[in-house]
Amino acid sequence: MGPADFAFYLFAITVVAGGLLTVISRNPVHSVLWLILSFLGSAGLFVLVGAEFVAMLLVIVYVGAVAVLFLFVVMMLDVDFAELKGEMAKYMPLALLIGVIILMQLAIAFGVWQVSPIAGDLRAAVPLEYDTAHNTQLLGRILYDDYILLFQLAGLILLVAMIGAIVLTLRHRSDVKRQDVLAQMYRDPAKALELRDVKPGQGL
Amino acid sequence: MAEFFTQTNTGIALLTLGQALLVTVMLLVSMAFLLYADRKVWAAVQMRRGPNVVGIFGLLQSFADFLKYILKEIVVPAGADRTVFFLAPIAAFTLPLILWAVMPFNDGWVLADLNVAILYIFAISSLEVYGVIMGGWASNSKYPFLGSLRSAAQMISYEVSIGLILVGVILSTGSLNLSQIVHAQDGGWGLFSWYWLPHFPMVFLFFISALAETNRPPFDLPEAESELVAGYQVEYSSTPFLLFMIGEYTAIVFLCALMVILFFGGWLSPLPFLPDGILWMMIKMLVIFFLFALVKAVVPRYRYDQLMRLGWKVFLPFSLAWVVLVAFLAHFGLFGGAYARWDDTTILPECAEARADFVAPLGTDDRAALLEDDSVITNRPAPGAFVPVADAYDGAAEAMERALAGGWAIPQEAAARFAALDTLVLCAGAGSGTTPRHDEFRAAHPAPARDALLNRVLERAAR
Repeated sequence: MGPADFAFYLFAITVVAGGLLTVISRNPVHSVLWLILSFLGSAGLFVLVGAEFVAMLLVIVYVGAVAVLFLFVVMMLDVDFAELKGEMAKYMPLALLIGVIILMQLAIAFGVWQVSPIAGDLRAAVPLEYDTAHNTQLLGRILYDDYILLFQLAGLILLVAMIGAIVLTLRHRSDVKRQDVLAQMYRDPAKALELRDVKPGQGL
Repeated sequence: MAEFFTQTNTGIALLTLGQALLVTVMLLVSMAFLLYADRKVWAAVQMRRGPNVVGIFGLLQSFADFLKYILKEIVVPAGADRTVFFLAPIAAFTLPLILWAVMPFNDGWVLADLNVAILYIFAISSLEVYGVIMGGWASNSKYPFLGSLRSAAQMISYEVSIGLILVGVILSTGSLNLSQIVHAQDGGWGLFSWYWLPHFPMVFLFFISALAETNRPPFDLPEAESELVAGYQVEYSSTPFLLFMIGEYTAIVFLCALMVILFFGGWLSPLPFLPDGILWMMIKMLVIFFLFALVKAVVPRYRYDQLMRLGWKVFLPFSLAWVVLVAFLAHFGLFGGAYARWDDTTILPECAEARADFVAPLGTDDRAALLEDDSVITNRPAPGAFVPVADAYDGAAEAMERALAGGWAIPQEAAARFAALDTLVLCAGAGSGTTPRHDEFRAAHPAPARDALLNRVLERAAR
């Protein structure tokens, strides 16, 4: 077993074990931490197939941003674990039902699955000019030359979603004393300070 | 012995381990003295003496502190989540250390010369926030929790503007590799060809964002002692606390080094006639660290809402506008190409293939002349590289003309090699070259004549 195989099994086991423990952890914060480990493992797998750019993006986007938000939300939850266990028994039959249905659907889907004779060739990796360009450059070429419209549209959709969220949650409250940064910065000692000569024993 | 370390798996693993250990040990030892320097600068600004008891001038103060830290008892608060409680300082200590894997100290002196080094740095520093969050949560106490929330929000806010500042530098360099970023600043003008000049405002933005990112004063709100005691570190004692502190300083020194690489030319010497070297890198890092230490002593702490306003309403729009500006300046090559320093020479596969096909059966001497200059197979052939290719074509064309005129058969392989040579002269600049040899070649073999000859040769070979 070469070092690459060893690394593959290490990362693969990390991903699977992390995913499993995400589901079975009692504490939601632990769940998120296991999820992060699972993300890191899959980033490792991406590095092994030579897609280092995607690996780094996975860490930045999922671990650095998405999982932090998860963690924020989960940490703020006021969870009573004893109560949670009691709830679990109540929802167990429904969860089992959903699980069995999904399993059956998968079984049906794979049972009638027929592999086309040319599928192997179609699935083969697209040969790229690996010797002549890094995969960052190639991704850039594909995203910004070939699919620029779709890329920009995806960005636009995200922007609209963001604006929507802000519009829904923004409240203009008039009863709050707001800070005017410019007014603060343009204050000068001549306007804000007054020197009084206080006589002994008199006070102001 | 040398083969063992460069050829076998065990050897490579041992070598990498040795190098990593060397960097780590050097870092940790220098960290002790940087901590001492930090305290001395702080003291000097406040007209105190600072540490001056342990060792001469108090030089061994950090080692005394270290011993004290590791010999004290570790206190774990009741109700703390033990695993996460200890995981947090380990993460806070390890993550800044593994950042150093991609840091080039000198030309080629780098543990892992990643093509995506900037992204790696960005990814790992976005992980650093977990040490803080986990520490605050696992302590099961109010002040650490508030401190960790503050800290996480702060680190995320400033990472955005740091990312955009990095984008500006990447746009100018055309690479995510740190060594190439330094090479792009090697312009023969000494310190005036470094990026601090074209990216001038970003130097300040990066410095301030780096202060906020590492929770240094004036942005040390997570540990604002007047409000939160010591933030996420309240419940930590002994070695875990030491790990948090070393991690923090490692991150600070790393950002100093990153700033040197991005804006101040890394290991390049500031004067063109002096030799480059690791010494320059160290000197520049120390100067920036001095500034970090100075800022801590002279600036009062920000209020939390002011900090958020600065990050999102000032730095983010400004750095975003700067990225757009740099993109324009780089695209149109303005200011003498100061913003566009990428090297877009790429190998053209069809040319490489044509040369390989043509050269393969040649004798050593002829082959050497054609293989000498690799620029013929790129999109930017050197003018001088045309000569051997043109000479080869002259000879081959003459032989082919003779064979066609004499009615001799031409073997398939010879025709294929002639086709490859025909491609190769085009790759070498037969169409666009401007030297006398190019003009002479075009006069002797105009493009239509070349095409006609190739067609006739292929036709004859097919028969």
